[in-house]
Amino acid sequence: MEATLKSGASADDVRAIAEAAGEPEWLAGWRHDAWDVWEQTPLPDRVRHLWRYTDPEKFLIDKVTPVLPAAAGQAEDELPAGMQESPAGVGIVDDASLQTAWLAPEWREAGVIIADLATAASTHEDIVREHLGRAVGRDAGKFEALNAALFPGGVFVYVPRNVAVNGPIHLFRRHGLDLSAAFPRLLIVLDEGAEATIIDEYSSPGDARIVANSVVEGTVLPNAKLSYFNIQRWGSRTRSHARQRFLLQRDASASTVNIALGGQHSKTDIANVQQGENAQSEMIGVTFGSGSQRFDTHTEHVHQASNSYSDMDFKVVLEDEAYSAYTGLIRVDLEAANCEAYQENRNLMLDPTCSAQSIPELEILNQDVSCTHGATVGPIDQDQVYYLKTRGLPEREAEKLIVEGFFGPALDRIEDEGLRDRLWGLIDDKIAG
Amino acid sequence: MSDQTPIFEARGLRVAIEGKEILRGVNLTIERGQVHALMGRNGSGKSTLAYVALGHPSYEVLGGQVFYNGQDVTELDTDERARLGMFLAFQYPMAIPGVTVSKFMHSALKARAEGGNVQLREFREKLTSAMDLLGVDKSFTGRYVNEGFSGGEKKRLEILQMFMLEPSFSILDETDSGLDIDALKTVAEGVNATRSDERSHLVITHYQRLLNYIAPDVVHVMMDGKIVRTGGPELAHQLEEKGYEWLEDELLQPAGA
Repeated sequence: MEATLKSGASADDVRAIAEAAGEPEWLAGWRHDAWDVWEQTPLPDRVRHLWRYTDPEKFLIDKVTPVLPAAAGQAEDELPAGMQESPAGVGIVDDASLQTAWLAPEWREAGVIIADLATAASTHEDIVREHLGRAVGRDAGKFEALNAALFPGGVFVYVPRNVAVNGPIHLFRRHGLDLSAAFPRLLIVLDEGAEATIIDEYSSPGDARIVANSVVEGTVLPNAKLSYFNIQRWGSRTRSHARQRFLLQRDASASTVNIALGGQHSKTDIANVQQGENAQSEMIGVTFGSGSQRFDTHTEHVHQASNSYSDMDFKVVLEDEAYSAYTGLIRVDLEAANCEAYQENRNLMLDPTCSAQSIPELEILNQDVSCTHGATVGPIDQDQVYYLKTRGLPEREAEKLIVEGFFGPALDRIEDEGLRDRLWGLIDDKIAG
Repeated sequence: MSDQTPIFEARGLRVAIEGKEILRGVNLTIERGQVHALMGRNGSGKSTLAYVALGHPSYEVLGGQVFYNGQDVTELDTDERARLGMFLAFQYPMAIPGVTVSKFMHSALKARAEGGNVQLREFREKLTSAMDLLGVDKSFTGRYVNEGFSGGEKKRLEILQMFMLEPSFSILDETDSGLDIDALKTVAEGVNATRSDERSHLVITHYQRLLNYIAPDVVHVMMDGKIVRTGGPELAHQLEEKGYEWLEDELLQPAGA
């Protein structure tokens, strides 16, 4: 594939991407509208609290080149080699294109779909049209508009009505081109009563200078149950702007786990919106920063309907000169009665040179609510370290065990043993590094 | 190095915390295979000696030395001392949230093992038999270390660790405080079961009570940062009968009076 685009982007590039992806007219039009939004929207004002901790200029693409999509790979019959887990499906995106889409035969027959999003815009136009941009609209923000205009292929995951997929669907987004702009996009639709676990993993080599602008959105229809894991392993020279938002309809539930280990500067905005009555959301965050990494994370639990439930547990470990800013909003709308919303953010700092901020935010318009929130920021407890050292553990091992204990309750919720072990391996590597 | 080398020795040990001198020249020698009791009032410096023996970073050694098995360990880091064979059962053990007892014990054993390997199966067998011996409930292994433990459970876990790690020299810092008689017996059984020619113990306590179950070879009394008297088991009984005032009065008498 020859990249013909230049640094930065123009309306011509939007056309080139739409053509290269071979997508239908409606999607091309959708992209152009998004491009207009991008052009007409000023850079976010740093006085606005969501941009207080990150300079938006970091995500401009003047010096990097958007990647044109290659032809999407064909659906494959064989499980890709080297998988440690036993997945129900696998999707592998290399740079701009979904190169591998594999589903175990029983799920393929049941009508589950893992597909290139631009292709699905033709083959499954009704569903894609209904849900694309629904949770993260083109007008959600300047950078969200840019993703909508320029995402090269994207991934579409659909689980039909009452199909409960047993085993994870594992997506790998591998971006490797130096000085490139990456626009990963994922649309998940779980139809009524469907169930699925989706593992969404992002990586890039340490030496590649990449500006990543990703969007993950999804609709969890009535009675459906989504378990979503976002594993951020960007390389140390990748900047990441990520927006993730799921809409939960009546009696739907979502459990989302965001594990952030990589990247140079990561700004992540995660939301679950309880749109329907009895919707249940559980949100877990695990961030581990080292070196000079910066993480700016915002979470939102929005209760739009009565009897909805949310629980948020966000844990941060920092070492060296790493920095984390966390803001977490619980919003309960006026018409949403009898909701429960819980939020906790804990920050553990291994070195005096790192720093963390934690700002819980509440917008409770309906007073018939049970709500708690808490935040702690503190250094590692030296008495705990001493205790472990008296048992023979060297200081580093003692810290490692304390960190494992800190993250443990969150990671232990991962049922897939292979994945859990691999994540522990990544965290241990980071501690050892 | 012959077997005559004491397992532990404090020589002229002077120690301060936050500028305040707590130990003011402690001399203490513990021979191999012996159980010594260290008695004294609150604030006399007993716990300080325990912490300093294991290199607590908050304490400053102003003078003197600590020897383990003939080796000067005064400058060694806590974990190095532990791996040589020293152990401290804490008066107030720390909770380690999210870390199960099983994982904790496995990590501690791995830290000591040659090549860092401990077979999981052997480990489980060893843990199970130690728990049986100490009458510790099986559910212990899956609980987070000391989190939500009762006082008695914490002390049992300390003894369980002493069992598993097989140190040559163990200090038990007021392990008997706040224990009911059953828990006290568990502690005593733990010490007695690990008594051997190769293993030594320093039992720190206010009271004679624990010493009814653990017969010490030697009893030391600490006052105001010094060992003021050393004797046989009868010294503990005298203290129990007559109180610390008796000893204070005795010490006030001019020598030979």
